[in-house]
Amino acid sequence: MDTLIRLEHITKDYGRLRALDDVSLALEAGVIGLLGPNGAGKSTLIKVLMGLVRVNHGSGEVLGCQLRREVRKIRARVGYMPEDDCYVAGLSGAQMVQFAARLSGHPSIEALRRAHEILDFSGIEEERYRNVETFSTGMRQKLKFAQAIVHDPPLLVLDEPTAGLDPEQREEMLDRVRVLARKMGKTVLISTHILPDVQSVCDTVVILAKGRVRVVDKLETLCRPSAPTYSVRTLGPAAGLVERIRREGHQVQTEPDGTLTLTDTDDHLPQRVWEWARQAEVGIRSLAPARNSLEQIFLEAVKEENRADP
Amino acid sequence: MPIHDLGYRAWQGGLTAAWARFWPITETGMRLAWQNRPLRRLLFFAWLPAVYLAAGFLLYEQGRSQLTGYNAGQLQDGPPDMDYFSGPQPNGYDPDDGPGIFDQPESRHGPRQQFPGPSEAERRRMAQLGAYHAMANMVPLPQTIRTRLDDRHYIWSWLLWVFFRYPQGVVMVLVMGLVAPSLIAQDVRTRAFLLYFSRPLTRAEYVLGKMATVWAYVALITLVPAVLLYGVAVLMSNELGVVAETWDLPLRITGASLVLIIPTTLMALAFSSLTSETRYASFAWFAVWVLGWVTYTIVTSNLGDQTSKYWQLVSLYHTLGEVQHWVFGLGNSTTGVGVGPAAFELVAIAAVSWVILFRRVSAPMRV
Repeated sequence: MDTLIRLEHITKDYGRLRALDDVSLALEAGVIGLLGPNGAGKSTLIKVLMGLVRVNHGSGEVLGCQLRREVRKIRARVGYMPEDDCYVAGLSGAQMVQFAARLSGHPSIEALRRAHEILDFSGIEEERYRNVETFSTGMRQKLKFAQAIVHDPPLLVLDEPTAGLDPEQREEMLDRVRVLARKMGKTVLISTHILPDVQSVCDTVVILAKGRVRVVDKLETLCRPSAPTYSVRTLGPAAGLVERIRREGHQVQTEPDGTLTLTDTDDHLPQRVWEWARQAEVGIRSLAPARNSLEQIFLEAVKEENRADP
Repeated sequence: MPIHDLGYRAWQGGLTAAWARFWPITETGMRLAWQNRPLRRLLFFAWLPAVYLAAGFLLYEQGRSQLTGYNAGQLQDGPPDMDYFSGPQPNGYDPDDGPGIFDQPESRHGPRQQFPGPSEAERRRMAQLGAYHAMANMVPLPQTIRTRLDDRHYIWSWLLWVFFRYPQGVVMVLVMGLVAPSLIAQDVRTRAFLLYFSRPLTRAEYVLGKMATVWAYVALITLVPAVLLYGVAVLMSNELGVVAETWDLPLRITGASLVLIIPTTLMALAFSSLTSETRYASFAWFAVWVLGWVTYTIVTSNLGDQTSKYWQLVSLYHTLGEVQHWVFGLGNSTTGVGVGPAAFELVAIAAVSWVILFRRVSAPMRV
């Protein structure tokens, strides 16, 4: 698969503060989650990708365009949804999205038609005729999303797209991202603090901490344990089953919530666990391959960075 | 969900030219500014001086048409002596007796008299000429203008300069004070920079789009009425040769408009970019004009002839007038600092404002 975003040794300083420190990345098409604690450099990385700030060192390409030399081309092909509220005061929602389309080069009438189409897609209905200054936080989020996609860019950069949305709106927003990525073939880079969102829609995860890339990998790979591991939840006390498993020479660990975690390379272990449970008269509620949680991965990545930092 | 919801569809249409990307900013800015009712009223009244000036051109051209065949140089000596035509002439002709012998065709009455009296038409013309001079005397014209009343190019240039300098100079300050301060200040307040600069748009195009918004309104009260005034004057002149005589005036009007518009727009936008509060930018804008004008007036009225002419540079209003005086081909004004220092000041203001604007527009990207 083609690399859509490639960064090599990017360093960006704001005065004495190093926001990005030797960042190198190669990202393919798909939905990419950009994670990191506050001040990790996520927003700076996005600004670098958009050509909004100049890097001190390093080079890169976005959609085949050189970062420094082809900024205009990059911006024409990237849709950006900023985290902060940003709008042109005095315009209605429809005018705002039309204006964004026109800035990207759409003719006036076509831009208006396209704006209404995208506002429908984004879930903004009659409110589109209201002045944007009167919009609620959720409406503004949708409006920012609409202006980011109105010019049909192949790459979308969404900064905290679900912030300020209620659970229903949040799910709708993630659905839209899925539609754009899966049906329309867009590449979406999502910067967020909300890990379940990433787990829900992303294929790839990038974790930044203190300006450095700590983790870049497919979510599937990251969540897969290093050794085959199973998670067993039982109905009632599991002491008999635990004892039996240990007697058979397997490692088992009891989590605080009572879940048993078994690690073994034996491919037939699940069938055997069912058998041992029957013999120990322990009911099994669920038995499934265990996965590393994204939260755990994130915390470990950040912790490692803190340890490395003197 | 709306019943006509088409879902997301790819864009298949074409795009506008890259050089025209500033235009949506200008158009939107103009539309938003037009919502300001005081501005609309001001624009209406801003055209009244053009009507007065059109009357000025009309009177000048009417008076001038009476000068045909008459020694225009006599105008310098005041109105013609009407008594000369009113009494009996040496040949016994009394104009009050009706048409005389010299009014008849030469073929019927032999050779023209040695000292012919004026015809009825000539008398009428002279009377109008007297009225023209009387009118010219009523208007407080500078001596340099009085002595060149026969120089159409000079008089037209002077009238157009007066139009730019006095009524429109003041109205321009008011119009720009209503339009410009909010243009960038509101973008700072609403963080709209991210919206603009995540698009294929450079900072220069952004600034150009904002500047063109101001230019459009200022041109509406300066360039457009001045060019129309010129057209009206040409139509009133009843002479084809007038275009050849004054062909450069539309260019001078354009030049004077640029002198007026470029430094002032950049300065107003620089003020606007320095704050997120429109009122502060407005205050700074009006303060520059009022304080400069008041300071210059106080200094010149207190010190009189001893005043250094360089004090003119503190007043942007007077500095602009000085350069426009030169642009209209009227040379340096008699009391001013001269076009050199005045033009240098305007260029410096434009350059400094441009630097401030660029730095401020870039600032939100640095954090």
